[in-house]
Amino acid sequence: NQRKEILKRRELIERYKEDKEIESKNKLRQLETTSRHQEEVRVKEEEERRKADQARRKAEAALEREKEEHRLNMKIAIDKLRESDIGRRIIELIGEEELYKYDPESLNSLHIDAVIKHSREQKEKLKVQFKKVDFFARALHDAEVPLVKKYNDD
Amino acid sequence: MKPILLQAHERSLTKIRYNREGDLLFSSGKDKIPSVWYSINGERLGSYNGHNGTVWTLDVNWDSTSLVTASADSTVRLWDVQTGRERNVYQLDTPCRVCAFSYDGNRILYTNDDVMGKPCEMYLTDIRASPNEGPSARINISQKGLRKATSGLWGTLDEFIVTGHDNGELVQWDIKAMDEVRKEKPHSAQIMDLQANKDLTFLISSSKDCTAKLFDIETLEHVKTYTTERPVNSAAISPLKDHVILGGGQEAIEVTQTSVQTGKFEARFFHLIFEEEFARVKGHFGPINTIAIHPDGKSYASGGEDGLVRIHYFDNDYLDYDIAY
Amino acid sequence: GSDFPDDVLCPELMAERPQEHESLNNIIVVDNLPKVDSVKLEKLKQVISKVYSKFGICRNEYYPLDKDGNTKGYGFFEFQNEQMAIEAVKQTDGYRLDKNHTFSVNLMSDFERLTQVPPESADTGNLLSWLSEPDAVDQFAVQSDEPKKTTIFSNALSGPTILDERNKWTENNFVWSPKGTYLASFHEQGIAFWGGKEFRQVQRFAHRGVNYIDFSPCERYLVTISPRPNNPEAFIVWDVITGTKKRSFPLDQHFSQGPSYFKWSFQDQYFAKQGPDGIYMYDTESFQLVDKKPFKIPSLADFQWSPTDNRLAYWTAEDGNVPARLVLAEVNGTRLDEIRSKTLFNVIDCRLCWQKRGDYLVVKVDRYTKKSGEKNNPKYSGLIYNFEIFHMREKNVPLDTLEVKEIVQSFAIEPAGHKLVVITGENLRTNVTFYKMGQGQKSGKIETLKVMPLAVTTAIWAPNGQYVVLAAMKTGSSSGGQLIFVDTADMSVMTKQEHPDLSDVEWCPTGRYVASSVNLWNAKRDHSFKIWTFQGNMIFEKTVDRLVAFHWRPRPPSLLTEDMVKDVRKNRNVWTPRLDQRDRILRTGESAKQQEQRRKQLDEFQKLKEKNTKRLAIQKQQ
Repeated sequence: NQRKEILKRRELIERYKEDKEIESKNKLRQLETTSRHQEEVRVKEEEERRKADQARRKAEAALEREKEEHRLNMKIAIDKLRESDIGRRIIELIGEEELYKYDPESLNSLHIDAVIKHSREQKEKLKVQFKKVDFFARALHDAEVPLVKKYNDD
Repeated sequence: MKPILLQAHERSLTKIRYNREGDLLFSSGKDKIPSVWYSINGERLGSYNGHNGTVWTLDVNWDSTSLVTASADSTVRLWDVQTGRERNVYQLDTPCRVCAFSYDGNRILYTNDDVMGKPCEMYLTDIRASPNEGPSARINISQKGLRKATSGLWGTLDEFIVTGHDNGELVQWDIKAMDEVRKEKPHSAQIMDLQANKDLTFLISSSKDCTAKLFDIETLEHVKTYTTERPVNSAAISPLKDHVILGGGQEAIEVTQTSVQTGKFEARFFHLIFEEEFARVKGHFGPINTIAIHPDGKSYASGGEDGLVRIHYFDNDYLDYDIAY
Repeated sequence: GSDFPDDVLCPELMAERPQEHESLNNIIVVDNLPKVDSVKLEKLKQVISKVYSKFGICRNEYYPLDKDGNTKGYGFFEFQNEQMAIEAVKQTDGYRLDKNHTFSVNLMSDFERLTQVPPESADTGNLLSWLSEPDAVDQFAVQSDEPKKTTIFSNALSGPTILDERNKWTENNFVWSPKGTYLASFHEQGIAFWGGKEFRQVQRFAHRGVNYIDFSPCERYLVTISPRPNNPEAFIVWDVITGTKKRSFPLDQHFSQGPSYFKWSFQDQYFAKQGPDGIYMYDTESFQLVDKKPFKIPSLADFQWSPTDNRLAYWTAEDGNVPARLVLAEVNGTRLDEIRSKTLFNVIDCRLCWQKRGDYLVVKVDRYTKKSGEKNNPKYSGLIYNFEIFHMREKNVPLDTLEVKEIVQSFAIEPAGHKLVVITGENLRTNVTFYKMGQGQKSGKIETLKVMPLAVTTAIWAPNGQYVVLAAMKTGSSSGGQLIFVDTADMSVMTKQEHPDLSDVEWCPTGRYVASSVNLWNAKRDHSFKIWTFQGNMIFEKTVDRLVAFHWRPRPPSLLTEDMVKDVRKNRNVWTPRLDQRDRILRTGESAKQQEQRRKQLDEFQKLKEKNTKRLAIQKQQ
């Protein structure tokens, strides 16, 4: 009976063992699958990261190139600006580095605005200057007229 | 807007003219071959080959079927506009100076120069008649004590003709009586061009005396004067605005003595009524010899001593422009 | 000739003339007859009749007498017909009766042409009325040839307007008197003066064949010059107000064609000419040589009066071993005292130039380093240019020297200021240099203000200084025409403009506008004038075919004292708004007037158009 008991237990144990083994095997298998799966994901992620990295680098390079191109264009535009009096004044006023933040078109319109403003100011200045001379001559004249009349009567 | 440039002629232009609708522009020059162009894009449609000398002037009839040309080769020729075929030749003794279609297109007027002892004469011919018949009327201008006719046009309803002469005289001829009815001397030097307004009620004359003048076409009453400091070769009245356009410059022989910079080869815009100049259009490298305004008034063409025809389309600034009053 | 009557003038002559109006053409006027008393009159009549009897029968003769019964030195002779009279004029004009009497003969009708203005014009009205015109508006006159037309414009604020225009006003050119009171016109018989509001004739000076005239600076005297050979009265000095002849002079070899033969002191007190051995100075009290003899100055080359003092500057040329000298002298009674002098070596030429206010005398000295060739035809090389600058207002008149390395084309002194502008170089490769001549403590130090590389030939200062126009006049090689307007307060170029074939640039006397002109001597065509503001803004342009002359009407020196000017300057905030308002009113008035005019023109034309359209409609129906 005991033997029977023992056998029974043994069998139980064996079964248990087997179960355990299966379980562990299963577990292992499962583990294997998950790890394989994880590996796959990882590889995939890696790949993606690489690609993104590449894209980013590419974009960065393009940006850099663009920046360089922009700088070159701006340099040309600013140099051109430097040729005129008003242009030089703009550069002085805003600062050359600051001007690189503009684009050639807006720089151009900035220049045009300044030219228009300058010519308007110039016109205004000339007008004021003319008035100064003209009015003074006329005021002197007005003061002199009575004297001329008196002189003539004498 | 950029002008359309027609490399029209090898040599200087003598006359340009739009047809009634304005889709065609005819040109003649000192190079013997008149041409026709699409006015819209400047494409050359064809030319009229046959003359042996400078073509002084030309005219196109109202339905754009016939063209008449007067040439220094002593002929006046009638052409089929579309085919370029010569329909008739009127042979004269001396160079032909003037030719013009009557408004109805049935008759032509032409004149010849008083050279080689021959008088200056004016002819009227019905183009429907055979050329053997000869002109329907012939007036000896020289015999009437008048100087050479240098330009001419038909008046209102084809009832009279007005001619301009090389001493600055303006003469009106009655067609029925075939005699002069009015004579004025508004200019002190040769009349270069006569053009009427759209409804043939006014007439503008251009003269070497540096002025262009506006007249009532029927009474020859002087109405306005447009003064420049250069001989005026041609002037046209706008059908759209109260404006006139003058073209001129000093004479060819003097051009070489003046640098292009100081030469004033500009079309000049005057207000028809106020006689004030308000705009100039530069471009020609020599004097402007002939000016025509498109019948719709939205573009004009000028032909120069430089052999070029320039077609200018007006921008909105011009079309909106009015002198304040 | 000075024993001739002073009053050969026309109003009385017209009053006393024979009354046959219809036959003016057969009467001649013979001037420069001997002046005789009643006893000798018969003898004179006989002599003169003999001269004129060969031209036909003299119907009538008439010798005007003065209150003492003496003849006045001229007479009228009436012939039977015009031909005889014309022949008589032709043959006896310039006839020499004796050493002192050379006839001047005219047809009465010609004489009348010169005197066509009614005698009451002797009441000249207010000759200064133009000076009281509002806004200190300046006037200018323009002369064109063929037709001979003189036009006077008023340079109104709204643009120039024509005040007067006359054909054949003058046969030659016109001349404004230095203070602008008179417009002088030239005629075969003499000079006529015009003035007052309507430019009526106010004075006339009979001098046959007069070619040039010159005024004393204060306009009290006029010199007329008729340079006919052997003319004993080639130069006549007249009193402008009375029209009387003060003195006449025969032609001499020192006369070179042109108006300036005599040079006048600043207050009309003296006039002087260069003679063979020095300066011949006359005073205007006696019209005789000061001290009855000339101021002996051997080798005198040129002299110039100061515009503000009885001082003059002269220089004597190098003569053998004697070097050239530059002298500043003062008139003291009958003496000419040297104030300052400088000896100069190797001098070819000097140009004496006074500043308008008399503060500076600037002398351009051309010198050589090497001289070769014959004595009468020397050749110079290694030319040097110096300016000797006299500071007239400082004690002992200090003298500065400015050396210039390049050829001096021209120079100009600031009229009221201290600047000197010198144009150096050749063939339009020129530099314009502005100097400050220094004053007070600074005298002795000439400062270079600015050098501008500009292709110009001349600098023309505004009458009050500060503003200057640099102009390229037409020269042989270049048509010129550049006009550069400079403000010397900050040495800035205000504007660059052009007027090709430019022949003349002239500032208006009030210094607000500049006129440039192209005349018939300089260009075949495009004769015109343009008016610019002092800043170079063009305000007016006009073509004048065959333009001969353009001249602003001068103004007299201001009557305002320095204190009064200061007062005006102080009151700026009073007159600025007043003038602003006046300008506004003028502007609106002007544009309203123009609009009105245009509306009228438009209406008239519209009517004509309608009439013609109606006519056309009727014709079409028929």
